[in-house]
Order: sequence, then C-alpha cells, then structure tokens
Amino acid sequence: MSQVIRLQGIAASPGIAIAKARALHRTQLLVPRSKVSPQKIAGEMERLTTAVAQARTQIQAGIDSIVTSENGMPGGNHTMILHAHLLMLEDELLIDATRKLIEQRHINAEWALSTVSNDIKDQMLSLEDPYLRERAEDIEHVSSRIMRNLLGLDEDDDLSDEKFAEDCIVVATELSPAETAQLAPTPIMAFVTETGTRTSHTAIMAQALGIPAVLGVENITNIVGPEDMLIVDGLEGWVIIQPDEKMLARYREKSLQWHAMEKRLRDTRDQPSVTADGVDIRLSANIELPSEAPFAMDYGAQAIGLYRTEFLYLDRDHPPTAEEQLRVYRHVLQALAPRCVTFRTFDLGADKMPRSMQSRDRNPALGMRAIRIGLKNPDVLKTQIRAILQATVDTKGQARIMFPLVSGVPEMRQLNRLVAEVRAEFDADTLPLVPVGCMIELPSAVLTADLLAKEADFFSIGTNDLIQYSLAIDRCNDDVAYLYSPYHPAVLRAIHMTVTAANAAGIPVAICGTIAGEPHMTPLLIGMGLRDLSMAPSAIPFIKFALQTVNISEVTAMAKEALQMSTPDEVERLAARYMQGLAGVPS
Amino acid sequence: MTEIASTKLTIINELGLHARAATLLVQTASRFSADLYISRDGRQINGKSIMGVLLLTAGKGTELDIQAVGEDCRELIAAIEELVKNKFGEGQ
Repeated sequence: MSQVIRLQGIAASPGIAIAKARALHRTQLLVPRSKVSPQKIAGEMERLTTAVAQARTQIQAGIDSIVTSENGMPGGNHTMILHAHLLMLEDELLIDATRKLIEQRHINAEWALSTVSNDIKDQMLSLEDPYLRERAEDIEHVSSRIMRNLLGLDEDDDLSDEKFAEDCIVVATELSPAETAQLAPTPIMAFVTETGTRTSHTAIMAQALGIPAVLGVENITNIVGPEDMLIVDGLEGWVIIQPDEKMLARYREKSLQWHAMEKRLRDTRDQPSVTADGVDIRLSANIELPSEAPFAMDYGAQAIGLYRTEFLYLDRDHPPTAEEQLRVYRHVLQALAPRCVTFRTFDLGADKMPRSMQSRDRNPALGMRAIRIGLKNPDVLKTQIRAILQATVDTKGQARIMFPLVSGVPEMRQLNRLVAEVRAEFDADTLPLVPVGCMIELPSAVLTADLLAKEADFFSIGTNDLIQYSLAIDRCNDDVAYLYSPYHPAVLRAIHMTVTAANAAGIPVAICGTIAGEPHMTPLLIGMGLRDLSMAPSAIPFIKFALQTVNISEVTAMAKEALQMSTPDEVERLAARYMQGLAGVPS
Repeated sequence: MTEIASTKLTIINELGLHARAATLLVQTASRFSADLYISRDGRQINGKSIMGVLLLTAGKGTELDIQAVGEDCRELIAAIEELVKNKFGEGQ
C-alpha cells in the first residue's frame, strides 16, 4: 500500500508535470550497516573486489565511448578525469583502507566504504585550494559507483544514460549547469531538486525549456523511490509522490487549464509586436544553450539578442577549442536562421571559469571578469572570435559580436583590433558583415556612451550588472538587496543617456537585462526610446501583450516625468499608476 | 640490499599537482616496480596513490622530496623528473 506524500518547495518554473521519477542518486545513497561474523569476512572482501572490478569495467567503458566520440583523440579533459577515477579504484587510501576496516571492525563492505570515503572527502573539503575541494566530488562519484555495485542497483547515474530516453521527472540533490545542459535535449518533463532558488541555473533552464521546476525540496532524493509516480506543480511549488486517482484527476484538470492559458500566450507568436499606436518593437530572446533555440522561436523571438557563451567554458580544465566552438555556433546559427544571433563573448568571472584561467579575486565583481580575462589571454578570445566568424561564413548566417563589461573607449579599441586581426585571416570576399558592439553595463561606459558610440557598431544595455555597479550592490549579499531597484533614478538616467547617445550616433541600441522581460517596466523602457528588447524566451508573449497597451506619446511623457523624479518609490508609483490607468482602475 | 634513489623537485607548472598532473604522475609511477614516496613539509604520501598525491596540495612553487625504493628506483626518479620538468605536458 503506497502512501501519498506531498512536499513543498520553491515554485521556480511554472507548469504541471505528471510522470515517473528518475532520481539522480549521487550523494544520497542509503548505506546499509551491519556487523559481519568472522567467518563471513572473506565473503565481504570478495564482494568488495567484485564491485571494484565492475566499477573498473564501467569507467573503462566510459573512457572508450568518449575516445570514440572525440574522433579517437585520447587524453581529452573528460577522459583525464575518468582516468583519475580509475586510479582511485586502485588507491590504497580508499580500497585498502576499506578492506582494513572490514577486517578490524567486522562490518559490511558498504559501511566500511562509506566510512572511508567520507573521511577522505572531509580531508579534501578542509583544504584551502578550491579546486581540490571540488575533487571531493570525484571521490564521491567513484565510491558511490562501487556502492551501487555492492547494492546491486542499476549500474549508472550517467546522465547520457538511456534511462532518460522516455518522459520523466528528474529528481536530484542539485544539478550543475553542465548536467542540466546534458539533460536538456532529452524528454524531461520537470526538474525537482533539493537545493536551488528561483534564480538558479536549473530554474532559468526550466523556464527556457518551458517545463515546470520545483526546487529546494528537502530530502526529496531519499523519499522518492525509483519509478515512483510524481506530480510536479511548478505554479505553487508542490511535489506529490504516488498520487491517488483523485489527485491525479485534479492535477490533469489543472494541467489542461495551464496549457490552455499558455497556448493563448503562445498563439501570440505570429502576431506582430507593435504598440497600440502601431510602432514596431523588436522582441528578441536571451539564450544560453543551443537546445534553447527552438523555444526561442516557439515564443516568437525575432532574433537572439543575447547568446551567452560561458556554458562552453565551464566545468573543464581548459577553454574549448576552435573546432568545438565552431560546431556549436554553426548549429545555433542554422537552427535560428534567418534570425540574427548576437554572440556575447565569454562573460566569465572568478566563480565561473575554466580551471586553467582561475584567479583568486577578493572581489570577483570588480576583478578579473569577462573581457578583462579575454584581453589578458588574447589567444582565448581570438579563438572565440575566429569560431564565430567561421560559423557565420559556413552557415551564411547573420551574427553580431558583443563584448561584455567594456569600461570605455580604450578597451573597445583594443577589442576592435583583436577582431580586425582575426578578420584578416579570412578571405575578405567571403566574410560577411559581422557588427561588433558592446554591452553597456558599467557606469563608466554610460558616462562615455557618446564616445563609445563612435567605436562600437551597436549597444546592448545589461541592466543586471548596470544596477549592481551603479548602486554598488553585491547581488549575492542579502543585506543590501533592498537597495536593488530598477526604478532608481540613476538607473533610469543611465539607460536614457545610453539610448540618447546611440540615437545621436545612429547606432542600434537594445536592452537585454532581466527588466526587459518584466511587463511593468515595458512602458518606461519604450518611453525612454528603446525599440529593441531581449529577454527570456518565455517572457516574450507577456511583453507582446504589454505592448498592446503602450501608446508612444503617453509613455514618452511618462518617462520624461520619471527622469525628473527623486526616488525609486516615486517612479514605481508613477509606473503603477500608468498600468492601473490602463486597467481602468482609478488611482 | 634494497636500492634507494632520491631527489628534490620543485613543481613549476601553472596548475600544480592538480587532477591531470596527479593522474599522470601516478600512472607513470605505477609502471615501475619500485615504491615511490613523496614528502612535503615532513608529510609523506605514497606516490602511487592518487588521493595521496592530491592531498599533498602541491601548487606551483612547492618543493617536494622524492624517494624511490626498489630495483628500478633510478629509472622511476628520472621519469618523475622528466614529467615535472615538462610541466606535465600543460599547455601543449
């Protein structure tokens, strides 16, 4: 008799999913503990030997498959980690120590293994070197592989495993960006994790894929059994395990309602994005992964205003090769043709870096980030530029190159020179026009926007960083979060200055921060002269609706008024009054 | 009489004895029959244990005492010296 369990988490991406659970057990295996009589010690040893031998075969198979798929080039980064795992299987600190413990304490192999591996992990986690702390994960990986063999559980938690080939809900302690990406192309119905917030990578990914996600559900990986039926309610943040017929019926109904509503939004896909008085506004999508391209088109994106390329650089020892990038960029351009794709060169910070480029900044937001890393390692940046240009040539696609975190004219000139150097390697006749522009996200770039406009082919305003840097707010510090406001007069003036400078120089200007996808900001943004908004794909239908209520002369007047206001509160009230006025509510 | 060879080495590659370098070191050492002991600041580990090598946390500039014990100890030391000198193939 199964029991219905209902757990509350954070509703991180809307929607309802009903499907079987596929738990990713990595850290949460339940370890059976028992004493073993002296005459059974030899049997325990034998079980351990067999489990280790199985693990060896499994890891070797992993290496072989990677070597094949990487065109027979051994020694890549992925295979190197697997080779390290093979060595760990032989390691005296792990295996011999486990044997010793079985013998001395007369305990079963699982208990001994978990004791030893936890001990090593603790040692690793206590190290100062952040990279070595991460290696604790490798030990976890290896020991849980042996553990699963000991327990006779199905061999693999490999993400490429066929167990994700059918509709399922992924349940995990947490998902790294790389794991989420690896899972993305499979028919996943929803994500449920123990950690994470509305802004974590898994949430962003789920929103982009248009699937529900409930995050921060404590202990879920221990509660959900394999093949358990789950309901994930991403609207209210519920996860229901083994629902009964009544509940299933209720949620099927709720799911239908949600789909009907979502469809209404999606139906706006082919409608033009124009204001009430007929002015065209370009709505583009921000994407991070090639697999998001179809969703962007589904939601009616006219272009990709921001393609974040960091993903290629993460979770690895060295930057991606030109060939690797070329494959991905070609795919993106082809999938989205004839839409223009704005490639933002890697925007890596101290927390998001390939390991060979890591530095130890005390204040990452003000340290080595984005083009600062690129200008210090020009070969890495040139490799990326080369791959973008080559992909454009190969696909005859439309691309733009956008540099993040440009502080002013000197950097823009340096970057333009790098692009010119790479362009010179190409045959000038075949090379299409690829505009080169920059993000406006530093106060220094705003204040010199008129000068930058002479060096850049286009601007895109990155409001997330612009707010952080203008108002001096660490986005990771909850204590100062109350100061974070897009309504701050300084933020509005910065946006307005940038738009004015771009218009005066006759170059395109767009906005690609979070606020571009927030309907309550739309009147203000349009009022300040923006005609090109780039946002999460799923936000496009909402903004299209919001535009239908925008009248250019009205919002221009409102923005003019807002730019003269003294406090964020006044601006917010003004914007709210405008929306209420539209809804016919007296203010 | 057991043969012993020893040397002092300084890690010069950018990443130090991280996963890749540690893997190469242990793989190399395992090809020899001699035992390998590596010490740093008086702490000694088995050079054929990848976890031991990782736990040394030998970053760039770390000085290590290397000792090999066994028949082919001299060849083993030479192979390790070669690896360290070539920066474990980093950046190639």
